[in-house]
Amino acid sequence: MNTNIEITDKIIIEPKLELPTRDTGATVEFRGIVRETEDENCIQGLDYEAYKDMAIAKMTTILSDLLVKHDCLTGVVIHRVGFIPVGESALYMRITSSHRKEAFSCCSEFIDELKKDVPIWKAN
Amino acid sequence: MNTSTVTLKDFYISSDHDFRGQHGKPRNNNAIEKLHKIECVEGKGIIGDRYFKQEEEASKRQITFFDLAIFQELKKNYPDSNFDSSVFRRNIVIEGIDLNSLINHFFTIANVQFYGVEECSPCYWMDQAVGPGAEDLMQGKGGLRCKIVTGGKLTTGIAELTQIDSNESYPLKVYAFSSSAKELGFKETTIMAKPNLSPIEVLSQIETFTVDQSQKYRIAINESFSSWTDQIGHVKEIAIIPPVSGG
Repeated sequence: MNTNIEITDKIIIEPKLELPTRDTGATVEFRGIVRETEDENCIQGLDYEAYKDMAIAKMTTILSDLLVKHDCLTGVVIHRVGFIPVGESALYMRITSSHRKEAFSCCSEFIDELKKDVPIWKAN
Repeated sequence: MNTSTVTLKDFYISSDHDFRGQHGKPRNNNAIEKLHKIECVEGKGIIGDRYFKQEEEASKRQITFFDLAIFQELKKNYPDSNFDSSVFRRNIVIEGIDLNSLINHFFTIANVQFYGVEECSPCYWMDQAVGPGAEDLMQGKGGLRCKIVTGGKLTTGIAELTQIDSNESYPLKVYAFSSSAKELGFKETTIMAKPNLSPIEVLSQIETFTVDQSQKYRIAINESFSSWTDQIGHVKEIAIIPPVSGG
């Protein structure tokens, strides 16, 4: 499998980097972190909830399609749910590819798609 | 429930159209692939096929069936024409069921649930693919267009086809999240549904549900985005999906 998708209610443990091939030339990582200000209010953290099975299925489809579209090698996505304190990651993702441009594009487009179609919600 | 034994003879997919959109022009001659296994995805189609859709509004052309008996009849009528069952470009060649009897009905084959939408009427290209007059001979027997209600894998061979009673009530799980859960007053409940009802009609029995909610929220059936107004069929669960905000 080129994709590894997970939803967890625990602090995100970033998996050890394993290069899929000797032709791997780039890894791009993204962390979505809970910030202290939300809608101009000072918060302690955010509560995330997910329609878990559908969210995993949607993320798998989106990521699989984007890996092909951007000619990338592998993708890891871990989304945390439950209460997440300020300063901790709600989302971790990592894309590997032969060249940096493809990995950046894939990572960026995945986040855009996630924010449109993946059934995960936050509330403060 | 009415069950028959059928044979799934051949599966065909093609990555792009051949006749469609080619009026007045030559056919595209996009290759058709014969398979022994296919994966049907609810609301979309067969993985790898040209009609596989990603859109929320389910197409009525997600999968097509063709009766083996019609193919055999055409072979008798055109003994000198060299064609096989792929020329019709329908997805599943089936034996043992009158396909027109499935129009406007839900049915399952090996745990995959379909809704028979309409006859897949023959077009004039059939005269080219089979022989002159084939279009006329195929009138009323062009095959069946279906939606996929519940996805799954199919393999060629003998299978059970079960027609579902559209009026029979069954228990349905309903999930709500975030703002929809607040409005509806629950995160999870079970209500009685009927296959021939739309999500709006099914949810109308919940006191806190209003039609306005169908304007601002999306609906997912068996974990796929779907239509608020199409009949739901016999499904496991539906979920009311507010605008998402993950990441």
